[in-house]
Amino acid sequence: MIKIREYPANPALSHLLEEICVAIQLTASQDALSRQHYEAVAKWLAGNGSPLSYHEIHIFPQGSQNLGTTTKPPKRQEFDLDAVCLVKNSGVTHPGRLYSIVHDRLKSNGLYADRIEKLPRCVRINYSGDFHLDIVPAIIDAEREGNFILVPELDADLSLLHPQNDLWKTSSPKNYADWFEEQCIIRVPIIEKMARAQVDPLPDRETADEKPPLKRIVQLLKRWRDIEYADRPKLSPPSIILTTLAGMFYGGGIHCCQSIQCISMEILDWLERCQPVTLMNPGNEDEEICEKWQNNPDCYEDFCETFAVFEERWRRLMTLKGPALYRELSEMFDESPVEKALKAITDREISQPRSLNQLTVKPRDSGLLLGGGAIPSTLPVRKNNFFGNSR
Amino acid sequence: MRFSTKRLGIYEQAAIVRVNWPNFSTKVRSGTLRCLGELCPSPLSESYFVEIVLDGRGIPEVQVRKPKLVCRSVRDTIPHMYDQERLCLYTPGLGEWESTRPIATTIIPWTSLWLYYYEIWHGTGEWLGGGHEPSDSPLPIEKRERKNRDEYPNKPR
Repeated sequence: MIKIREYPANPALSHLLEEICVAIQLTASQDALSRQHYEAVAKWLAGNGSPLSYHEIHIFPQGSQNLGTTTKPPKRQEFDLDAVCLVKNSGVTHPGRLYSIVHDRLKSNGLYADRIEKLPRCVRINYSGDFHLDIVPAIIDAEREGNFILVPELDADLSLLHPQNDLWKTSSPKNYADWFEEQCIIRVPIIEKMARAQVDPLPDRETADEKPPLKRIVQLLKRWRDIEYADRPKLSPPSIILTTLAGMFYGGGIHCCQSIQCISMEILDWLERCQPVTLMNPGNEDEEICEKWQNNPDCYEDFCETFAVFEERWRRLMTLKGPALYRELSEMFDESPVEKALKAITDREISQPRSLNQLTVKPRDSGLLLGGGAIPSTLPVRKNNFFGNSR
Repeated sequence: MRFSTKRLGIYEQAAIVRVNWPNFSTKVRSGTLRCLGELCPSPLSESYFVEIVLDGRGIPEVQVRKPKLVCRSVRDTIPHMYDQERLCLYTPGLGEWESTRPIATTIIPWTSLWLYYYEIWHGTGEWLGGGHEPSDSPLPIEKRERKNRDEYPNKPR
């Protein structure tokens, strides 16, 4: 039983962490643009002259974009987005053949020809500036009912059409997404939700990008992973492992810093218990998702050690205040999103109310600043202009 | 709230601080008021012990006693401070501070606001609280210098 109430709630820090997530995620316009690209790719693959023109083709986002957990890689402009290109009734039985049809058709279009890259399981299209799309060709798994698909499991050392390059891998991104959405449900009593509304200093919460806490937690864990493993990317834990573990151990709490502390303890316990390590896709009991750890025990060992350090660091983070807190957050998640988050919060909660003469200070709460206009037991903060050098 | 045009005496200032800021202590000695109290501008902020000194001339000086204010790096100086010791909370010449106004409703709230922006400066590298540089003070240079001398007689020049 996950006992979330044993951990401190820290709503103000959770609020800052949520704003950090907003700073690292795909914007609404980038999301819409990527979906337009999917449609254009699907249209081209099924268009006149295509070997797939007689088949129904459906391209849909999978992974972080579908789950709402996109995280911009640090020091890079592009997001990594994944999409499934499902070719229905294709009649293709060789995975290399399917891959090669999709690849060659894209290559024949001047728009994509110079932008595509072959990767072992997908065709990558690089859209400069915003993102690259990893398109995974797939067929329906005819032997199973439900949302199961088969994707090529190609051996990069063999040619695409080599007779031995004929492995399919089972997958079910839709079932996984359904499972994840179910895990996102907040399970704390309504009284705690009301308590948060009262504690939270945000006057206009509806303007913040609302997302279930679990999605924020996954974004933060992935961002921590990207920074932590920047010097040893080969050992880095895959996003699906972090997402699945977070989903498994999320206790339904509202405050993400409290939930991360709780999840971290549970993950450490699980790492100790689960020997040899195995983790199945909760939406597909035949799909092992920690192959990387099974094939490369160094990755697993490294994660066990690194995550134990993370758990300690997170506990310490809960005790930090002011400049020390912001410094530690910048080290954990990189300076840029922390700066953006602090600027957004300051603008919304302090500077704007100040410019509208709505900023107040609460003497009985050690001079706490509140941006909600006239509030009982507060004094207005009168207009002033700080003097002296600003740098 | 309209301000009186009558200058507030030290004892009046002390009384208004005590009524409005119960966690501040006040002490008057040799015609100088010292107010000491704790400010914590946001739930994520440190708690700061600040001292406000108001002498008979009605010029408030504000210093942070604990914790020590620090720069972001060795090359930085903390923005909006006099001599890296006292907080520059208002611009002379704009009528923001007059000795007719209670420090309880001006200087202390501005101190909390200054501390908020100081912490955010640490987190972002930018002073987001606005303000005037000495070079763009609204007063002509001669008047500004005279005013600064009057308002900050201890400042080394």
